[in-house]
Amino acid sequence: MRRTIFLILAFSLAASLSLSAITAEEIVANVEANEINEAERIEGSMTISDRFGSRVKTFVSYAAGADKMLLEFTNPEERGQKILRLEDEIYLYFPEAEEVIHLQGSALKESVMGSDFSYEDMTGEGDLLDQYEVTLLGEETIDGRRHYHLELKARKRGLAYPKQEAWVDAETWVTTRVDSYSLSGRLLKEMELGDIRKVAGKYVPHYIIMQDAMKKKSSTEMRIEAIELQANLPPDIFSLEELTW
Amino acid sequence: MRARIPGYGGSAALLVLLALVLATAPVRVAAEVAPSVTITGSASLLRNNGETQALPVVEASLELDSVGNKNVKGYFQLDSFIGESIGIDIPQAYLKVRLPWFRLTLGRTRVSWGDGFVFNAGDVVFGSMETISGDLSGSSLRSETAWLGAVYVPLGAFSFLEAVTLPYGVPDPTKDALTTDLLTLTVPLPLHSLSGGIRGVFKLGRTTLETGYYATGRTPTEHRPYISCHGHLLVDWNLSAAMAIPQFHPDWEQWDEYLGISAGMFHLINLGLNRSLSFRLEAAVRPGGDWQEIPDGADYALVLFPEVAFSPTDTVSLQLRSLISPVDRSALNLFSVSWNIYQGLTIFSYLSLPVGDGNDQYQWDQDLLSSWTVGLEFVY
Repeated sequence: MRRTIFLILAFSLAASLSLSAITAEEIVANVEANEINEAERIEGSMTISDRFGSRVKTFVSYAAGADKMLLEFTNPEERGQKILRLEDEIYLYFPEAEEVIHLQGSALKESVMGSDFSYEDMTGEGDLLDQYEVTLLGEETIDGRRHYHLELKARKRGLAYPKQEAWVDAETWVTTRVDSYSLSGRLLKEMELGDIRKVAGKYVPHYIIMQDAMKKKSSTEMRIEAIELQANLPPDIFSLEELTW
Repeated sequence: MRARIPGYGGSAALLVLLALVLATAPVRVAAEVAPSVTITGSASLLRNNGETQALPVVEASLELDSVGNKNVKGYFQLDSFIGESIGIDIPQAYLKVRLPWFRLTLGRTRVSWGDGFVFNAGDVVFGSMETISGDLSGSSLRSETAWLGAVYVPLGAFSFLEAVTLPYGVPDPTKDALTTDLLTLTVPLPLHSLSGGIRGVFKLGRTTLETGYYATGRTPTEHRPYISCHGHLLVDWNLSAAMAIPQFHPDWEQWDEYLGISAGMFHLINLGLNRSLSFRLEAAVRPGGDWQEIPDGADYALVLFPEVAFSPTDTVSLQLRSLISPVDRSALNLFSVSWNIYQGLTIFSYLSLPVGDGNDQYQWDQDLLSSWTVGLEFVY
């Protein structure tokens, strides 16, 4: 009996040590090391579904680090329209009018092409640890895999989501689910990521399903058709010159 | 809506075919062609010659875009129109080439100088200070193009220089038929008749500053310096000022007649549940224009463009737009609704109503201004 109690205590202590062996900041650093690439090229599609059916947008995107991204739509309806994120600024380009629009203020929270993604969702928010205070809430098992459950609270005003909860796969460092909340604690968006494949030594989810909790019967599925993590990107690809090309 | 150019004939068909072959042939070897087609069908009830008339309209646009080549880009657009007249047009046909230090554009296209949705004093190339006399329903109300050559020199991520020349000036869509427009390309030009200019775009903190100069080689021959800036302070804002100074014998006592100023603001409010409400207000000011109502006056000093748009969902949009002439208290109002019901398909309807008496800029009984239109647009 004593031996059993000792084993239980020892196991609990080991589990507790294991839980505290990694900090929330280290988890986020591992996630960013896996997710952020210095020269990424993606061909993908975005399927927007609502009560009237679905609409498919295709795109090519390029990214370098956490704050540089260029996305070009390739489907006939929006062909040539582009979104550029450079540091904390977002620009749109409409080829028919040869017009560049600098997105500012609340327009950043607008939906992209009627999808459940906002411009900020599509282009990223930069360095997570700079912007959010991160807390490790615990460990959970989801679909048989060990996950870290994190809470992220915005360090400054003006971020798209003041509070987020994220679940990170403890082996692959892939975020498999994110719930985003308003300042009052109201659920705004739910995002699920899956079809995780190993590409060039990193784990990459090949689909993302985003549901805007404020929209009824609506969801957007983004799927990666092709990805390069060490793409040969021109040095000046993240510029107004490339945007208007 | 694009400019409609009447006057389609047999020779135009040959020229169009030639232009199509020229625009696509060089591209075929180095890139793939991505085609897209836009078909718009609409029916309007409109007031014309004192009676109400029905007018069906069909427009089709074929766009051939090159994809896959990072340094060469070709684009060709052929528009056709069947309505109160039959027309065919090539609003865009150009090649872009990227070289190590600059980028070259040749063909028919548009350059967007300055800033502003309807009124833009900085648009010294195409001119965006005149009021729009007809259709207010388009997603882009200024879409004129011209045959031009442009050189674009990037200066960092956000700044650049751009030089442009328009050998044939800006075509007048109400006068220049496609055949005339294309045949002018075959005639050699005297050097002094070339129009051209240069601009620089720079970023100062959160404000973008743009300045440039453009000279017209054809009547009216003018020097057109301008300055334009835009940024965000509670709302998105823009401010532009330009001079149009005659190249010969300018009368500096009447300098205010050469000055044009435009200002605008835009703000979008996210209402939650995927609804949004946006406000836009633009003003065109000509200090030397008429500040008092005069009979048949058409050069009033102040014109306003307010717009309110409400989107109850991501696919439905309701808009109220007006062109207001405060000096003679007249206005052209447009209420429109559009619904992107399936992929590529949009149903739209708009009601256009002028308000003003017999001598005003917008007259309630003016031909073609009062109309109700219902239509469909399909892009594939």
